[in-house]
Amino acid sequence: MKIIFAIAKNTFREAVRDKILYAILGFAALFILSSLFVGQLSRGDIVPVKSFGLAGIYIFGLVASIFLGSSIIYKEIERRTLYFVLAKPVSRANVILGKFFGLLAAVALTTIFMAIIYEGVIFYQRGGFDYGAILAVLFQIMEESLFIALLIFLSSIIPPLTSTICAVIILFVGHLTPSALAEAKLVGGISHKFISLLYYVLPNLEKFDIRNFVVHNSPIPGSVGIIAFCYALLYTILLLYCAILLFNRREL
Amino acid sequence: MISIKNISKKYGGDTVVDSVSLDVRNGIIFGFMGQNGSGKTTTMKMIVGITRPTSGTIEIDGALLGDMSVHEKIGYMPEAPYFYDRLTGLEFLRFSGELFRAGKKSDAKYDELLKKVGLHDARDKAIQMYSKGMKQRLGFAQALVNDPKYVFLDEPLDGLDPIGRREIKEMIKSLKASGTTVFFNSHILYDTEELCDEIGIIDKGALLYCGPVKEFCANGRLEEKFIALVEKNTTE
Amino acid sequence: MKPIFTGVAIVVLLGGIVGTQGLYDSKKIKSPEIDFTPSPKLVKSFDLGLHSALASYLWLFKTRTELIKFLFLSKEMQETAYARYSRNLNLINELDPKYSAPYVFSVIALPGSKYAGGVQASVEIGMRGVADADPDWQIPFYLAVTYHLELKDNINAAKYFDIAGHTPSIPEPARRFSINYGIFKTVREQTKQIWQAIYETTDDETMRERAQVYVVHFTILDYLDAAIKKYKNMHGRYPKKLEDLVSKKIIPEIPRDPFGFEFTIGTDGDLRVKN
Repeated sequence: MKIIFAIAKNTFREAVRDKILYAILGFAALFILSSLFVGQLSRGDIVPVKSFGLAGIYIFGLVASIFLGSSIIYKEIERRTLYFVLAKPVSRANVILGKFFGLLAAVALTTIFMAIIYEGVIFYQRGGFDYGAILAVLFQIMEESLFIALLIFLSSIIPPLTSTICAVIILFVGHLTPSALAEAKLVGGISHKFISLLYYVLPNLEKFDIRNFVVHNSPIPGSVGIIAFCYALLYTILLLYCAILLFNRREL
Repeated sequence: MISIKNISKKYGGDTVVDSVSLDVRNGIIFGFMGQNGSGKTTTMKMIVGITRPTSGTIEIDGALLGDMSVHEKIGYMPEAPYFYDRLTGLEFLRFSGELFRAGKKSDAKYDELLKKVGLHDARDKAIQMYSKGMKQRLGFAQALVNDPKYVFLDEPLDGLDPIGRREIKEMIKSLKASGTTVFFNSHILYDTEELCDEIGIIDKGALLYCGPVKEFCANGRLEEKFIALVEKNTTE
Repeated sequence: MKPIFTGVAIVVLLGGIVGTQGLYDSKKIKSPEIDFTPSPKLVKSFDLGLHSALASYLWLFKTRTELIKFLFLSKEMQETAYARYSRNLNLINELDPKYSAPYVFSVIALPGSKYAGGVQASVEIGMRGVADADPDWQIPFYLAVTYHLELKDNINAAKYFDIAGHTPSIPEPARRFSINYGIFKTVREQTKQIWQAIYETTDDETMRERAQVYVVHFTILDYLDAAIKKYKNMHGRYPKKLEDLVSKKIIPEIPRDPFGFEFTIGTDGDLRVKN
């Protein structure tokens, strides 16, 4: 809808003009460029260069999501910029969705920018481009959309600092549960059931990680893309829906 | 017509607004007055649809709040507004305009509006750079972006210098002249006396008076009458 | 007056900071080295899925240096140090089994170390590498080299040379050798070819020097053998000692062997190393 687009555009503009984004991009660029040094150290072995570059894009993409995500939502609520918006023919759902798309666009743009620097490094090192990395970045953007939806959901119930910490914890847990589940299977019993529950309910982020395939030029299993996309889509919709419900009930 | 029937707002055990009813005819300037913390802002937030009343109904132009078409006709200026700091004044007005079904107006219209509030020169500066008075004027401008039939202003003259106050007061008068209904909160009684046709007085969440300002003042100053009424309410 | 004062104050403070740091350094206060390798499962749980980057980091910045230092330790110290190296290598391999550099380096370096179990370890690591890592010709190649040189196991050597020869991106000299392994008539010829191939393909300076030395050694052996044969053809019998080759003007002088060996000639004209 037009209104969601207007809010998204506004959120994007606000995000992209935040100086913190430039600091993050600066550090990201430094990190990715330093993988050139890694290339020296590894005597031309491209595997570590790709690993470091892609890891950098991932970490800084998440950092950008966290910084932009938590500050934007906090500002809306604490600084009453929402009051202007809600007096107009704008539903609270519009606000949540608009914020989401605006943030996603800003983070996706940052990620793509970092990917371009990465491809530059690879080109310099190898003379060709890493096409697999483009896929890895697409998967990362799917993961980021889930993560941003999570941030928005959390900030509709808890204050920004706490929601940031929660989001980071959930991020680690999201990568941890597959191995935890394997361990729990051995133990069995209640802990197995409990960990299984966590495994299925909490966002499971391993599926968006095709970096290990890309770095070693291994073929990526076919159905992974569709499954990852569906999972990201469904989970994002769930989180945003719950965020809208909670936000509708919130006193302003 | 703005028709408010028995609206209350409770936060937990606290009753901030207690069964307030009032009607505001079209085309007048209505001043809503009260001490700090009397419930003025909460009432206005309920009228413009930001806060949900615990009970009671609000009708604007015959339609209940909740109907988005109501929002198309109103403009709201919050108290001591904060903004999106990194937008320019013009970008902010454009954004406000885009939120309406009618969509964006031409930049010329926004320029005109900015001129009216005295911000034309600063339209391309980031809002971060605006002084408090400038922000106040921008808040006023965004309330008018959709040529609303009803305008709600929360402390519109707060923080303005004398010339600014005069300018805003002139604009409120010209809004009335063009048929817009103006509802504003204030605790500055001097301006209220000058501008308003009718007033409402709220204290500790309860409506103490609602009616023509001349009648209330009768043969005294608004300020004295107001203080007397509020003190009487306190002792009761 | 005031700017001078500010300037001096800043310089003095900076000087104090640098001095204090120097003092700390001179006391050589070092925190004890942590001999702790977390379990791979634990590490994998907390690295946010960035296994490959972490493996690369650990190898390039820590464990590779650890291996180089290991090679210089005395024999007794190598026993205990190897256990630690093995754990760290294992961590890296578990994090990213496909990362080939750790396997390659270990297979090349370990047989040359004083560590008693070096050859066995090199073989074990090499076989893991062939199974798990990205196709890297160096793993089977150097594994085969170890089989041939250290274990005198021509059959396994042939197997792995064959794998190496068919791995893409193997440099031509190594490929030629690998495919032709087993065709050379003598063990010496075989071995010489191995070192030739290593010399032409490795970019590790120490390895290169070592290979060159071997090639020179074997070339001298071939040279002396040819001279002995020529002597036989000319004089009907084998020479009694190397000096005879010189006195009969078949070779201008006895070449010096880079390993410092001295040679004698056996009864049937065979070149032997003097004990």
